[in-house]
Amino acid sequence: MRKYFLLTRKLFKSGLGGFGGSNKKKKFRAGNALLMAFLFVCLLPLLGMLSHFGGEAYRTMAVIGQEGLVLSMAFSAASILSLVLGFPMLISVFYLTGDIERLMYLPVKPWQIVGAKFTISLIFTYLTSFYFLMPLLTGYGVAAGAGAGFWILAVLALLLLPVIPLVYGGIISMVIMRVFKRAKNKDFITILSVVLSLCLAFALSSLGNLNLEGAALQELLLKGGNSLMGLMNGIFPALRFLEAAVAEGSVLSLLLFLAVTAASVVVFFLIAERLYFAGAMGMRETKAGRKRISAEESRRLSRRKSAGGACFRKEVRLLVRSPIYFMNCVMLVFLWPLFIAVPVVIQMVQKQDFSIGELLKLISMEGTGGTALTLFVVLCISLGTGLFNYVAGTAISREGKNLYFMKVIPVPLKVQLRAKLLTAVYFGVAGTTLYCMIFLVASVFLFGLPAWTLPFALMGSVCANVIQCAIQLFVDLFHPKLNWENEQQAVKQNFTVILGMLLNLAVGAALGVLVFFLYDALSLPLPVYVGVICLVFGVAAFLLYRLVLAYGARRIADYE
Amino acid sequence: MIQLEHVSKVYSGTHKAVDDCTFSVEDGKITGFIGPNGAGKTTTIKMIMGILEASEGTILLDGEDIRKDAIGAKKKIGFVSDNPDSFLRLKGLEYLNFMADIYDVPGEGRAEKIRSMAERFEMTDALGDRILSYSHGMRQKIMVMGALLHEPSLWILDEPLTGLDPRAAFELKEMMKEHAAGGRTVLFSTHVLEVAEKLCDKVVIINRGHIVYQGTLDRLREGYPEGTGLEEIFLAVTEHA
Repeated sequence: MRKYFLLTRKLFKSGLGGFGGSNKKKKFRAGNALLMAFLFVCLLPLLGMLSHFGGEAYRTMAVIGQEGLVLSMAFSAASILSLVLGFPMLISVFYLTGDIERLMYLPVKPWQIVGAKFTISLIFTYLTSFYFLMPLLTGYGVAAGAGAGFWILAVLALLLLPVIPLVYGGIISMVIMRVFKRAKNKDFITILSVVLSLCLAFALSSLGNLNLEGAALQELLLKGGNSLMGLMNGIFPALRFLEAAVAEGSVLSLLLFLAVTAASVVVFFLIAERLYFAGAMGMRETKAGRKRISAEESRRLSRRKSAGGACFRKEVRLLVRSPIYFMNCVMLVFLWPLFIAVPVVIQMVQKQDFSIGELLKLISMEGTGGTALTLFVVLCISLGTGLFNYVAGTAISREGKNLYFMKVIPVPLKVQLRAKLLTAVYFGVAGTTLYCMIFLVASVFLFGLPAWTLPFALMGSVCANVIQCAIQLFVDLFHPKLNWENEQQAVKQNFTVILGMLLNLAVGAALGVLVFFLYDALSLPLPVYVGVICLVFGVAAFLLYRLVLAYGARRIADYE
Repeated sequence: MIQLEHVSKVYSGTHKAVDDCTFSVEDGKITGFIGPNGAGKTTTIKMIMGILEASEGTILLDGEDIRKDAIGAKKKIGFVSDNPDSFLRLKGLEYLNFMADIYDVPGEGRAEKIRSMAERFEMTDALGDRILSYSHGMRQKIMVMGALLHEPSLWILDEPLTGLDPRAAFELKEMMKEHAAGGRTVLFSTHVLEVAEKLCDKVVIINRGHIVYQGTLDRLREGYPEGTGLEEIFLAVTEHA
């Protein structure tokens, strides 16, 4: 155990980037403190909203004796969140940080290394799970007038809850890496397996949700006494014990949950003993074909391109081919339909009478209201999904110590920055606008959505992406993280990314609210109103684009 | 030709990393830039490259001030950094074409140029693989190739021979000689005095931010008893500075 603690302490000091990184004491900087304070202030409204929701949900459900369902939903959502966010992190921390080569020759057991890495990943997962659950539980507890027992159990729940999702993630990652150990293109296999595993995990968790028929559900609902609790748990059945512990103050349930959690960790460590080293050995090695390149490929690559085009291609290639960058900066932008589509498909499979067509026909597309709502949804998707696009938010940080290269090459900084911004917009548009346009075109043919909406939706969605990417790039230019040892530190331990995301959240929410209320206030015909909004978005996007390039060129020129 | 006139670099308003440096790197010669760790070599090279701005003084590249026409001046330079671990997930050929696009190398004849360089460095079969799969020496070679594609008039190398196998080191030294023989400029920093002795037409020695010697090694030796090793001379020069 002593070695486990030693490794954990060392890893904690060097951060998620792995062992052997910089261990210097960081100087206190007023700028960093201000940044953290600003981050906290930005988070306050969301914390307030979640707390309010927890209280309201308790009051609503307590009337029918189903207040435990609130906890059930919150715990299930937090578990899925921990799995979705924790799984890519675990793959990166376990296999991609490169420290394993420095650890292999030390007299430590695989479980001790995995245990240390798992503990640190758990601590980082707390950042998100606490943020989500704490205000919900606070709102719930205050509304319930809960005593000390509830609060103690709630704190224990916060600490224990992410363990099992991370154990799932850890086991899946070890199995994948062991199975594909000999794969030629490990980067691609890593990315593919993370995407597929997330799809599978999400599908499984949706599969377990409320698979009861209407009558049985109604009966349970009327029964009261938290009879619905546990139905949402899906692939986390042990949550039933945690929900009972917190909702009913059952110490026995807590002990049961603790026992299941401990058992899962033991099983995880036993699996780690067998699989971890086998998968991790040679992880950093890349197999080389050493095949002479064909004359055709040579000619194709040798076609002359503009400097800006070359920078753009380089950015895209590096983002797509680096698993850590792809998983943290790009992947979520493309995966969002999964969170909508999977539950719908599952419902359709489970209930034969469910029809998505019927659901969509409920919104009359031919009426102005339905059209306005559809366009508003497109805007919300573009602004909302943009929050997960961290390509621009890490564009400068990803350069790290190689930032000097931007100043060495004979390409104006504005051109290089434009390539970075356009790369982010490219991924944003591919992940939002493209999906939306497919849906809209289908809606034109199937549900009578007016065709005039298409160019406006396209323009609005693209402009929303430009606005969000420009804001993210601006924040990264202002406070980039350049001093890192490996890619994980550049994107995962980078608080400016969160700051950029929060700024985008604030701007996105403000724009959404403004667009929504101005529609009623101005009483313009819908096509005119949509045209005005597109124009405003276009102007804002253009101005931000010009500003960020001008600011960025000055900022990078000043870096020493 | 590279000319530095009274160039200084001050960090944080007080720390002078480079102090009133004046030296020139002539065309047709290989100039070695030598100095102990922390002497100011990298800072000086970064100022020449336009990565850092000089606090005082003027830097001219083929007569052009890098501050007045940065893009034009940079096009004249081929730079090989001491850290070849860049763009690791690009294939070798992708990297070379990226550099060629950046430096406006015409598409016509580009493939032949790359092929000929690759053959010289024995990299032909590796161009289709990602740089990540290369050894340190191969990474260094691909960086050298990228720096020379546009046939720069000024070639600047920071510790270029580190990690190269004997054959690649030989080829690189030959290329430096050819570059200089063509009337172009070569400036490279090194810690290896034997390399400087065999390769350089001229050395510039920097210590604690000051240029303590510039000229040929033969002239440097003149001030010391016969048989004194270059290492001892170097230590004496840098100690007494």
